[in-house]
Amino acid sequence: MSKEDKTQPPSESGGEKSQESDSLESQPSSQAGEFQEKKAKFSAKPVKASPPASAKEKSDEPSARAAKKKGTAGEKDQAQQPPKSEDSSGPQPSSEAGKSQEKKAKAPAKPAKPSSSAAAKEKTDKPPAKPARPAKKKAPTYEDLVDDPLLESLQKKFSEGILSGQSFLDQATYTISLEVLHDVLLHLRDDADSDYDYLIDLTALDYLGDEKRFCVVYHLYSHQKKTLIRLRCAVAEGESVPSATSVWRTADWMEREVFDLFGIDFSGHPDLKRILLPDDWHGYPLRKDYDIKLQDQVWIKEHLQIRKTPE
Amino acid sequence: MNTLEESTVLDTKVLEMNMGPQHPSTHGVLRVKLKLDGEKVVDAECIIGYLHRGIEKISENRSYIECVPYYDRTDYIAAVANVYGFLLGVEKMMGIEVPERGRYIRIMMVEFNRIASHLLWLATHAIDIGAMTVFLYCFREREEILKLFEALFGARLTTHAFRVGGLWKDLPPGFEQAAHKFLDEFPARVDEYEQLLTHNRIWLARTKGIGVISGKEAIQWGLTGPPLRGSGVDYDLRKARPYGGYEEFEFDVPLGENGDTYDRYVARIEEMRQSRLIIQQVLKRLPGGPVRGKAPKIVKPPAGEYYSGTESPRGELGYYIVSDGSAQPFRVKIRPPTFIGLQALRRLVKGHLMADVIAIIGTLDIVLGEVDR
Repeated sequence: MSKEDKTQPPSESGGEKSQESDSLESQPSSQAGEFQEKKAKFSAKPVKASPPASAKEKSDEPSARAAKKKGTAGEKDQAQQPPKSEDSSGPQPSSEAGKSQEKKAKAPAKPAKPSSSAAAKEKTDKPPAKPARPAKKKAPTYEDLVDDPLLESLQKKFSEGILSGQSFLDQATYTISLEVLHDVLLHLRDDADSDYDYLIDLTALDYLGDEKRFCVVYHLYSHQKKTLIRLRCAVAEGESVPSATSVWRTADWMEREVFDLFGIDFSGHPDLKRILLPDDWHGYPLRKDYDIKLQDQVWIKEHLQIRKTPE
Repeated sequence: MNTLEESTVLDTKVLEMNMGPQHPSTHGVLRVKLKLDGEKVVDAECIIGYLHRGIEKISENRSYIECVPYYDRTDYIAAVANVYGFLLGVEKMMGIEVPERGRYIRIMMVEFNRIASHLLWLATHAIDIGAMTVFLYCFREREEILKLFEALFGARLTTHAFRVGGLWKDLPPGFEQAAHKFLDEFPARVDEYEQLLTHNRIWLARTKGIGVISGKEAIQWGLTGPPLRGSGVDYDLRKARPYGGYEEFEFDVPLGENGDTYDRYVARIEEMRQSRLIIQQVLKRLPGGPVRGKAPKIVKPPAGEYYSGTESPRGELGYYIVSDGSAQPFRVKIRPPTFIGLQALRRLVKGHLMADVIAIIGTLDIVLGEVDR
């Protein structure tokens, strides 16, 4: 990461906030504020007198326009402030604090993952950031699904193939093993009780360092029951996932995208090739070990004739 | 080269032709490899990715707040609606409450954006088919909406409309009057477009029975938004899975019957009228108070995942947000309605004439910034 990347997040958020508080507090003292006071005085008397409203509007208009002009001028000034402070005075103390906080949070970066094991559950149970203020709401956590008819019917049919069923913010997630994945998808589509006729989305996640590195995620929706569910399936590197194109036609490009950006193979896909990147591109950009600045230098040199100096 | 089975009598050769990426009626950098038998389309393959900027990868390397302006640039025609879905997801994960006034103004601006987006669609769709006048009329009305955007957001296209917890600032003075003025004039304008198109014989000939798809098949292909509703499937996320307070407003979901280009046109025209009704309800009931709730400086959703789906002008726009508890998202997956809808082009154009390809691309209402991300 370059200097720019490191300094930007805290100063940006800090700048934005300060800008906001500026606009909230400084405006009343400015001319726009005067206008507001005037308007308040004006509207104080004929509050509910609707007939003279048109006259009031007319008399309001010029002043409104003036205030608008002033308002925009004020905004411009404020908008220019944050970058200035960034250039001259450097990071402010508050943004320093923000930076360290962010670093702390980065260190134990353990991606959330619903899992059947109790140990993993405890991890997600931990307070997400710094201890929340007592008045605040409890942070949402993964909860095991209880009395879920779909989970029960799936477990009856696929027994050990269904690893867990949990919900987070009222969205149900079912973790399924790769062996039964295709059968589960077919079952979900065709079984009258579930009837998930619409595949909303298909994507993948990269948990670098795990034994099974990838996780393919399906979002399904039933037009009949009006419910949305999520399926997760852990996939190791090099393993191929049965294609869902025979179940839902719409899976075609979604799987091509996952193949393109993650390098996950889908067996049985009619035309599995790159979709967003050029065909002869090397590497899979959405993998976690693919740095954001890393590019296929060979490809770039060959096709764009741009020679990049090594960093 | 394979020949079309039906046309073995004439024994013509299949011609392969490139349409795009620099073609005025592909609405961006879409390249379609057409296989033609005479003027008839045998097969069409879309080649996309010319505008791929890796927005999902960039998101993983930015804080949640910094991500937001990037989503303006996915679907730049409906930037307001695009930012909205992501912020709803983040706010849901963090349990941030948006004040009522903020929620109402958001809905109003998203609906204004829907009208603006549909106007641009109608303008370009009509000019693709050959109706020049509608193009000019639509841009005239769209300009009024963009002026409203500029007054509130300070920008016309990539607006960075909303912030975590609400809006950046309240409505500027004179905004409501300008909005009312637009809304009062708008129905007559829509009637004007309809006068030019709806019963126009050329328009009917070019759109009726073109690109027909049944409701069941449309679901199979993952179509959403007006293309799905044109086939008679009642699926509008504002009704099916209400978000952001849409359940408080009354509006209809216009549905088509035949699932052809004409029905999709009618559905979108009607949607503009419905959006206007929603905005009128918002303005009528607009409460006072702040527009932005309490939100922390550094946005850190708790470890977990959430799929936030909204009805963008183009269909179901979803943000699948996975958080690891840090200030940067672990992954943001955008479910772009037109990337998924564009797949169906192959199915829709088969058997039609070369000139109908343009009508069908128009009816899908694609934005390549969103297709390629």
